[in-house]
Order: sequence, then structure tokens, then C-alpha cells
Amino acid sequence: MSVSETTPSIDHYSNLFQTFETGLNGGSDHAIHDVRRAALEALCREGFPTRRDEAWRHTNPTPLSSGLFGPVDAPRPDDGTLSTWTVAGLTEGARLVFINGKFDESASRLPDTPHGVRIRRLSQAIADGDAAVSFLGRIASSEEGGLAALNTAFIDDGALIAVESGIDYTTPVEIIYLTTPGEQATLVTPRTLVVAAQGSRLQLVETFVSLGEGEHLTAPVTEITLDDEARVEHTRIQNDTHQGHHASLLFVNEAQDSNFTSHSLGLGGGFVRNDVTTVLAGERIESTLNGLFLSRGEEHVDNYTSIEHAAPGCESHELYKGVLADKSHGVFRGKIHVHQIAQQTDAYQSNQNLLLGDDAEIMSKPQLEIYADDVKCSHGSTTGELDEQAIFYLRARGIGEAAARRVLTRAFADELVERISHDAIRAHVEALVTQRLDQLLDSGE
Amino acid sequence: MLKISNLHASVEDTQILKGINLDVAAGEVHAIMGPNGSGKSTLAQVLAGHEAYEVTEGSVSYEDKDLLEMSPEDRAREGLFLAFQYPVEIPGVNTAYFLRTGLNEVLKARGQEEMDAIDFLQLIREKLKLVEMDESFLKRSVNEGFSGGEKKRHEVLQMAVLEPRLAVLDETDSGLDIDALKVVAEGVNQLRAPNRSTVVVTHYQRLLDYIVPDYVHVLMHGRIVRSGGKELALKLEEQGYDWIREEVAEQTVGA
Repeated sequence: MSVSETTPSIDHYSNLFQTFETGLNGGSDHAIHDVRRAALEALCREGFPTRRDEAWRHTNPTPLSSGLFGPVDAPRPDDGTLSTWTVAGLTEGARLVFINGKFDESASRLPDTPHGVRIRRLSQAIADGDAAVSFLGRIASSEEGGLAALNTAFIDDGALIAVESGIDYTTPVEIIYLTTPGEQATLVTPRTLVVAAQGSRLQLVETFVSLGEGEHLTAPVTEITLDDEARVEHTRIQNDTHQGHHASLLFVNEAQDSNFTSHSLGLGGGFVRNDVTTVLAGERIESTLNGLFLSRGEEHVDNYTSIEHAAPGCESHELYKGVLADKSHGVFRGKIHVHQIAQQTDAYQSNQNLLLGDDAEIMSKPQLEIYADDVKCSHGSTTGELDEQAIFYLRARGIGEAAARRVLTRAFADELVERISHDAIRAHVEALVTQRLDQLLDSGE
Repeated sequence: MLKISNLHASVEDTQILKGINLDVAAGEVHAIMGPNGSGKSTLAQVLAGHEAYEVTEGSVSYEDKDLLEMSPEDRAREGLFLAFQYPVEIPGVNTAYFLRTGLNEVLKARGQEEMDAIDFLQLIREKLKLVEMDESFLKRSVNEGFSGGEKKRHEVLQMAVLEPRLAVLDETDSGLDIDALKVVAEGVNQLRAPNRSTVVVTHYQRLLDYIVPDYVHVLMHGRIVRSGGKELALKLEEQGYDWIREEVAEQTVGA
């Protein structure tokens, strides 16, 4: 992170913090408040990322650091809009809905859970001293300032999911964060914490959506920690408006023999940055990062992933695919860091991009740092247009040209959709992807 | 059925077809033979409507319509079928979906009812037997990982499903062993009917032992230089193309 650059926004967020602190009404006595304060200090000290930071080489972060975003109370969107973003096939599990950071009781569902499973609002967990709260800020460090620090400084409400040892909780947990900007530039900092104890299993889907008109910054942080032999499958759906700024951080920490799968679905937005950072801290871990990002218009969509192989004998698999239409810009940057101790690492990374528009662009950059000598690491990147021979082949069988393009584009994206193991979540994602791809293809015609 | 007149076509400014004339009546089987690079595959691709080939002169009428004015998909919907020399692999597109989508487009164009998944399965099982293919192919991506022989059988399977009125087989025999060749030929012969025609493009006479043509044409340097009955194919098999080359050269000199 760059040496402190005092931007007006740092003062702005310091002032916001004071207001926030005053509003906590005694809530500042909790231990978490020290974490918030330390985060604010780090933000003031280290500032926001700049283009000089390696991780921001291909995306100018100035819009994030220069904007004066703040909390805004917003009207509740209608139920029809909400239902687009809820997983239709999930009818009984927990669903937590937040609108501009505020818990929305009527859209949410918090059924009784079996013993050893806690699904709750973060604010309540903080208030009654839930033991899991101590993980906050430990998986996502604020020390380097930036967006993690911004989010942590303003930790208020959000979702906490904690599954105790050996519990196989197969009912997916659904968390939805909506951003509805007001007249002022709107700041929303959602926070999710997932604690999967030894041998537990968990399936969850997080959705981040912005609606309506107006500038905003949604800067979510999700922390997931997997103890030995835990298995977590996480699906993330993100869709923002053309005026929206979305900069998310997903931090995962894995212990030995655990298994983590991430499905990241980016449906676009004016300025989007989605980071996934996993630390493989124990042996024999299997970690899978799947990503599908779609962009159109003049959107800018940046995907940054970082996989830290910090222990021997782990496997990581990564496949990110982008479909870019119109004049949109995409970035894929995949870092794989194999520590010296991490012998017998098996790491595979692939990035494939499909350009639907003549003016669409993608920057694809693998970044492999390997310090162990007995490892299997491979990566590949391809970017191209639809295969004209395949289009002709389909047309020669009676399938119209537009339909042929649709078939091939969907087939490209389907590979990732099919990797979602839960039927209802997969069907939901498939519907969203199909609809958005049709829009991408139509805008190109 | 098909009338090709003075057809000239080029690819990237290289003239490949230099005045093809060919009449194919309903129910007939025509073989087009010729050495490598004579323009056989170009002719097949032009008939199917590949946009990489530019028609610079001449006309093609198909069932009294201007074929060259039609899009590739409309040609297929109107009953023209090209069996590709190099079938295209399409990762992620399921073979059953591909076959049914194509069939329904063709049925729609014919004013017939589209087929649901159950009826389609019944039909496809029957057709799979014809080309001796296993049902498991249906679940695989189109041509992906298929062997050369499997790809060619898949072409014939598509033809059997779509039931074209004019089938153009582009070197469907290349790379096939004798058993696969018989399967392919059987698939083609099953479709022979008084209202259907077939154009077999091939380098070798071998396939014509099984798909017996009514007429044989020799294509050379972008022109049909000889036409005859099936005995012409046998003569080419025995004597190669050199004697025709010489005759053509003499004619050119004499002209």
C-alpha cells in the first residue's frame, strides 16, 4: 500500500466514523470497537489503494478513494424486485436480507436451526458476545488500510454463520445485500462472517445487488474460516448499476484437509472489483475458485484472485471465464503464491474470455510466485471471439445465426454454472446468466 | 432439383471455381471426383452457403429458388444438407440438444409440428441404430473427442434425422475403414428415394462401390472436365487422373 496520501475522503471517513461512534450508544464498549478503531487508524495511515499498487495495475482505484460516500436511508424496493434476487428454489432455509446495511425483517427468514448451527444478525451476535465474533478482522486484515479497513471501521450489521464440529448443515443459507442509492453518494459496507468448525459442512449463497439511480460504493467484506476437514461451498452473485462502484473482498482461511469451493458470478456494474483471497494454511487442502463475469456497455470489471499455498500437499483449481460485450473492459489477475514449505503443491489456473464486442477488452494476467521445488503448477489464458466455423456448422443444420451465437455463448458460460452442486442455486444462477447473456448478445446486434 | 450454371467462386481473391455447370434431377446420385485442390470442397461449401467463399459469377437454383440468395440456415430448412469433411467440435453443446434444435427448425420450416424430448428420443434411438452409434453420444458435446470415424457417422446421423431432399457429402469416406464406410454408405442408401438427390464428393472410387452413382463428374482446376456413368469412376480408379489431365491439356492447346 502506498505511503499515506491524504485525500479529502480520509477526513470525510474520519468524520463519518465519529458520527457512527456516537450513534453506537454504548455499543462502543464491546471489544469489536477496538477492531473498528484500529481499522480506521490503518485507513488514515495507509490510505486507499493507488494505481502504483501491484494489485491495482489495471484498474484505476481513484473513483473509490476520491468519492465522498456516506450512509443513506433508502426506501425499500418492492417485493417483485426483491424476488428477482432470491433463490426461488430455496423455501425453508435462512434468508437474511439487508437494505443499505439495515436488516429487513419482512424479507428475511430466520427459522430455528439444529443445535450447533447459528445463523444470526451480526449486530445481535456482537451485542450478546457470541464467541465467533472474535474472528472478525482476523481473516480479513485491516493493517494495510484500503477497502478492508474501510469496511471494518464501519462494522455494524451483517450476517454471522457458525457451524460447530461435525455438523453437516446442507440447507443453503441465503444472504442478500441490496444497495439503493439516495441523492448523496451512498456507502454500504456489508459484512459476513462464516466460521466452519472441524468436520462441518456448509452451503451458502451471498447476493450483492444495487438498484435504481445514483452513485454508490458497495464495499463488502466476507470472511470465511474453515477448520480441519470442514467443507464450504460459497456462491457469490454480484450485479450493480452503471453508476455503481462495487469493490468486494472475500477472505478465506483454510486448515488441513478442508475443502472450499467458491463460485463467483459477476453480472457487471459501472466499476466492479471482486477480490478472492484464500490462504491454504494446512496440509491436504482442496480449494476451488470458479468465476464467471459478464460485462456490457462501458463497464469495467476487475477480478483479482490470490491463492496462498502455505502448506504442503494442497490442491487449488481455478477457472475464470469472462464474456465481454460492447465497449466493456475486463481484468483477470490470478496470483498463486507457493511458499517454500508448500512442497507437492498442485495448482491449476485457467482464464478464458469471450469478446462479443469489437471494442471490448480484457487484460488477463497470471502471477505465479513459486518458492518450492517439488510442485505442479500450470496456468493458461485464452481470449477470442465466437468460433465462426461452429456458427456456420449450426447454421448449416437450420439454426439461425442469432440463435447459433446464443447457443455457443451459453455453452461457454455453462461450464461454470454446471459446477454449482446445489440444484436450486444452480437453477437460479442459470436463469440470471441466461437473461444477462441474451442482453449482451442483443446489444451487440 | 439443383441447377448450377457457370459458377465461379473465390476465397481471399484466389479463384477456385471457374465455371461449374451441373444439373441434378430428383432421385439422382451424382459423384464428383477430382484430385486434391481441384475445388471439390469449395463447391460443397458454396452450396451450403459458407461466407468465406465469394461467388463472383454464375447462378445456382435449387427447387427453382435462387440458392445463392438464401442464408445457410434457410438452405438447411429447405432441405439442403452438407455432410462436412471436417465436422466442427462444439464444446459445451450437448449432441442431443444440437440434433433436436436443428430438427425442430427444419420441421418448423416445413410447417410440421416440433418434436418434444420424448418423441425425439424415440426417433433418435432408431437413427442411432442405423449408423451403429451408442446412445451415450447424445450426452456428449458435439463432435468433441469423437474419433474420425465417429464424426463421419455423426454427420450421417444428422442427415438421417433431418431427412434432406438434397444431400451433399463432402469426402465423407476419407479416413474411414471399410466397416465404417459400409455403415456410412448404408445410411446414405436408406435415404435414397425418387424425390431425394445426393451429390457425393470424393477423392476415391471406393465409396462408389457402396453408393452407386447415376453420374460421375471429374472436377479439375475449378471446372468439370468429364462427365459419364459409374464406369468413369472405375476407369479413374485404374488409371488415375493423368490421362484426363493430358486430354484437357490437348484440348486447351487445340482451342
